[in-house]
Amino acid sequence: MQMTQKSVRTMSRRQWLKLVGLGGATAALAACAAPAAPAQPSVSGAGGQELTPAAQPVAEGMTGDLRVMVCCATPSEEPLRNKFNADFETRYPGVKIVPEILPAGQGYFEKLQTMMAANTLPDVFDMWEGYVQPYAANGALRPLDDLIDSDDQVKRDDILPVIIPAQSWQGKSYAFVYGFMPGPVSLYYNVDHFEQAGLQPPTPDWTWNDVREAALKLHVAQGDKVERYGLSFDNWFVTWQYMIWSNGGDIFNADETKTTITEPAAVEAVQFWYDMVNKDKVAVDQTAYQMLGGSMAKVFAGGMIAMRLGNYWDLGELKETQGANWRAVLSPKSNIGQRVWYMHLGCWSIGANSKMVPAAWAYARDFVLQRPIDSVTPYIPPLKSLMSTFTGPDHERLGYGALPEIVAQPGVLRVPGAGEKFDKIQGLIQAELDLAFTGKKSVAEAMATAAPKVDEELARRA
Amino acid sequence: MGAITFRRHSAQWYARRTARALVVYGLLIGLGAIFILPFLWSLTSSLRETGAPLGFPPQFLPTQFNWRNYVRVFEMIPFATFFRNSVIVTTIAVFGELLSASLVAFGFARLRFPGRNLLFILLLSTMMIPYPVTMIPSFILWVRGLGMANTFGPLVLPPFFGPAFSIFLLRQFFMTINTELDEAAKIDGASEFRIYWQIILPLAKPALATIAIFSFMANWNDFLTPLIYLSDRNLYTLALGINFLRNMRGGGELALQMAGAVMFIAPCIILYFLAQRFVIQGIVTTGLKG
Repeated sequence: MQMTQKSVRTMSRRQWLKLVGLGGATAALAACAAPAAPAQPSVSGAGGQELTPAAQPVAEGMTGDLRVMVCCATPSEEPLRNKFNADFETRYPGVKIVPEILPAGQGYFEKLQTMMAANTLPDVFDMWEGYVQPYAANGALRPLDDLIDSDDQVKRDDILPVIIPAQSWQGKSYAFVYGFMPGPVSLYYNVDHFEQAGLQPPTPDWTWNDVREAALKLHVAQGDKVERYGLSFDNWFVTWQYMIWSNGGDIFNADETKTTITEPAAVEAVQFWYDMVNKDKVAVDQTAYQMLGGSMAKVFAGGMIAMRLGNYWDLGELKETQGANWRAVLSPKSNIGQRVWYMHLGCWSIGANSKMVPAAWAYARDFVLQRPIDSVTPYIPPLKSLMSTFTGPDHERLGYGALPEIVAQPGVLRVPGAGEKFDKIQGLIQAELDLAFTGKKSVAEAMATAAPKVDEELARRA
Repeated sequence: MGAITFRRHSAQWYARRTARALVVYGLLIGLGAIFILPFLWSLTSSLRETGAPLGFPPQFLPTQFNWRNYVRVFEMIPFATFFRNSVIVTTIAVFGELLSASLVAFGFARLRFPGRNLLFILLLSTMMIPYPVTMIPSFILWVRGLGMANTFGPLVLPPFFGPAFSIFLLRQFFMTINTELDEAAKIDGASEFRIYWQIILPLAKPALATIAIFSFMANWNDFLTPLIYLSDRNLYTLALGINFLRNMRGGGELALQMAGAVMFIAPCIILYFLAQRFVIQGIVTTGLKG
């Protein structure tokens, strides 16, 4: 009897084990199965510039899935991109867009790098300033010159000269810029604060001294308790390059073998702005800015900051914010009277091994010509013939009207130097400048500490 | 048989003991409060009105209770889909890790075979290899070799191949179990598998619970692996998908981000409280900490 009970019990455990094993295997296999096809976006009417439809006989590379990977689309851009994709599929019936929009600013280049190593890059994908050259050097990108030259809708001499270096490597184009903007482009200001202080609003001709004087007058504090900061600005490589370049300094020497961040023009430029945080104490430091909300929408709606040196992407939040009486002018000129901006750009590149090159090029080109996201992300178009489309309901309020003319001037916009090394180099400089920004050392000390590390990195590249 | 005598302590001794206890508990409560502050801040921020400034100094106790933020998270992103995907991935991965790690650890702890120590050292040495080093070769293997791009495969199958840390932890625990139990079972005719299954595993519940918690947290919080393997948003896990609450350059509505973050970490907290007893027991027994 005992034996029977035991054998029954043993069998039942085996059965249970089998069941567990089978269940686990089934679950694992189910998890590994390819997903069902995602729902297609609905097709609605095309917008933007009229485009030539595909030729009737379907060309090679114009049938199949076109993998499109996008970095950093804002939520308001997404429906516009979906509509563009749907319209594209209507124009090119053989092509099915497989879109992938990553969460904003999260690991895009980590993913791209991994895909590049595995030779599984998407057909067409977002690239940024400073990334085109290292990816081209690694053979990940397809040169676009033959596609540009043979295209009847894009003329090479129509491309703005200012963007050509940003999309080129060793004389060839590896990306097609769909838009660019200076950074930091604007000095946003609270109109009410200026009126209360009896100050004239800023103009595009303001210099850094004008900003400092206004900040001193706009700042409101009672003892240690700050009721309103005069100014805020981000402490990151875009801002400090704008400061250094505008003041006549540079990050590297001409052949990019040595850094020049210890030279007076560079040090004085950054020190001028950091003094407003640590010496004048009228500009908010990064931590306090984050605690105030960390976004334009909050600081302006809350009336806690009178001026902010900001970027074009701040516009989206500002527009959605109630109760902020704001306007903006172009960011100020340095005290020597010049203004040199960092060039933010968005561009498309095509994977070196894409089997869908014609479709990928058509996608990139149509995106440039149609400007589907311009209503929410105001990029300056890359083609002279499209410059008249750089208009919008907020342009006057933002002072963007003069931008096309200004950026056409040589030397007003720059991309970072040192190619693929810049990411690391800016990190070396930033680590030191963070200490200066929080008043733990002077800018001169910070630059002196960072410079040998930067030189070492530059030497390693050579 | 002499009577047991108890030493009477002086009032001063009791006063000293009370004072010492007060200091110790005070310190522990203080440290505990410091550790909980970031979570309290997240919770408080998640209940603020959207668009309202956070203010400085930071507020740790809520004064507004805007529960609508939690509903808005569901409206803004497919939270339920992301949550479901995270549950699927984490459940399978934890199951695989427990199964494989316990089997391998049993082999290292209980079976004698040539090269056992060498193999164990080799296994331990794999713990020194950082994930970024193996990330690209693994990606090539899973995507190009096995064609598992955009599936849960690369997320759930690796734990079935015995993660080194879990094997190490379980082996240490298994070695503390008296071998006489195995010998007695062998005399009764039990196979090695039966010893593993019916004797060792039931005794190793604290260590298994510890592994389960660690594995759960690692898989639940993993951002990079889903990022590089998954393309279809319907397959995104919560750790990845929750980032859609952020705008470009990290902006966005902080109250909603915090509401999403609170819901994201809630399962970890609940699981920890449910298995707290086992975890502490497991950590104490194995001499390891997370």
